Amino acid sequence: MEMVKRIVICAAVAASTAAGGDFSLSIGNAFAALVPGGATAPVIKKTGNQFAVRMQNCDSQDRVQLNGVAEGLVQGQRSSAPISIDAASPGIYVVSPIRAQSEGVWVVSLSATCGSAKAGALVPIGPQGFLRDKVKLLPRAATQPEIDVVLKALNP
Amino acid sequence: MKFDLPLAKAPDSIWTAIEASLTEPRSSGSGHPYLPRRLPRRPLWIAALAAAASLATAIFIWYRTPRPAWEVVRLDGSPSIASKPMAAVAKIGVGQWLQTDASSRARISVGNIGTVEIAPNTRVEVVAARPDQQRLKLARGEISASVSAPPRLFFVDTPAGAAVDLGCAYTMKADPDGNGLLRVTLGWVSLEWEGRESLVPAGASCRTRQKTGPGTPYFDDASPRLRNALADFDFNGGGDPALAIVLAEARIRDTLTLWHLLSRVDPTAREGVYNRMVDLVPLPNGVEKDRALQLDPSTLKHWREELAWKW
Repeated sequence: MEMVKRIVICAAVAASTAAGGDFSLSIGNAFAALVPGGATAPVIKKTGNQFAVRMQNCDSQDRVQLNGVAEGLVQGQRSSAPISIDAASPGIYVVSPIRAQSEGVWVVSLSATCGSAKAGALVPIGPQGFLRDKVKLLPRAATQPEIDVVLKALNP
Repeated sequence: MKFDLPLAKAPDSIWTAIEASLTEPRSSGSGHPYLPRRLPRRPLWIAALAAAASLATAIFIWYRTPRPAWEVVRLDGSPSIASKPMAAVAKIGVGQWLQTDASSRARISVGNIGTVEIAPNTRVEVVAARPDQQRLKLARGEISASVSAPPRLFFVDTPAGAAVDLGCAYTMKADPDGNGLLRVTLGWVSLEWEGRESLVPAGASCRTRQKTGPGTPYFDDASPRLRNALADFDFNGGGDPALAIVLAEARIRDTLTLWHLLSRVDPTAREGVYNRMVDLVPLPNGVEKDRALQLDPSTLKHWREELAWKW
């Protein structure tokens, strides 16, 4: 019985590792994507609410995919807007809204995969940039109800 | 046994042959094998004329070759270039000064890598305009630079430090004594002076002082108590009391300031700075305490890169 228990535990660990249980996103200011004195992705020069995204615990950066969209609540109506995702270095990206979201409240919904592993994040955007203390990291892409909750919290 | 060789006179034909070879014209492959080839004689004046012509050509080419110069646009009032009022659009070359008065402003296009706005009451000089280095000197006043270029291509010199663009936008102020303030709005700027370096990211500032150079960077939303104590520490010999205030007031993102202080405090105070940093942000993988306290460069670099995600 003990042997069976051990085999089951090992199988569970192997399964979670294969599924990338620790794969996650890290969100920071855009300058975190640029390494002073390092070589040299071209500087990504955009104004406005840029932020950086880093893939954590992905064992192979060429298996990474990152997608996202800006979701907003403008005068009580839901709206979506595209975003730009630029690679700064392997596993590190700079995310920028394509156009400034000057009206309403907005959150960027990110979804990422590393092989079969998934991760997501909801990154609220304020007038001075992303709202670090309101970022939500998720083990998968955010659902519409989760996005709605964040938008309503930004729009009291 | 000693032998005396008999003396013999050389036949006259030898001397005749030698004299003949001295006077006959030489051609390639011909002539006496033991005598040097004689150069044909030319009048000296022809050589002098050729040299003068070469020199004149070189001067002409140098004069006509366009000098690197930056375009300047007048934004307000009447800025001057090389002490003369400028037109609406003008050029400024290496070694020339641009000056604004209380009511004038201008914008310089730095090659094709960015722009620098010159605020009122400002005096700047173009120091270099080369493909590998674009350099401005700020004698006094304020500029706002926005540069999109590989790092370490654009520099602004002040009496108390050089701002080195690492991909950024920033404002730089300097007074006639060389005291100044750098404020970064995008990317990073390195402020350097005599071996001292301060790395300043967007949202942060760094003071400079004549004869001291760059101070310690701080985020603009740091508490006034922290900022005042930091200025005391950097420029007024504030020592341990000032450091204690900085440590007490520090938040997570003030680890930018603490990271710089690691190498600027006395070794006896270094562990206190380290401990405060670790209280605020757990030590990342790959950073070891001993190496950090020894100021190992690669350890500090890695630590800074990890901390930047929290700033």
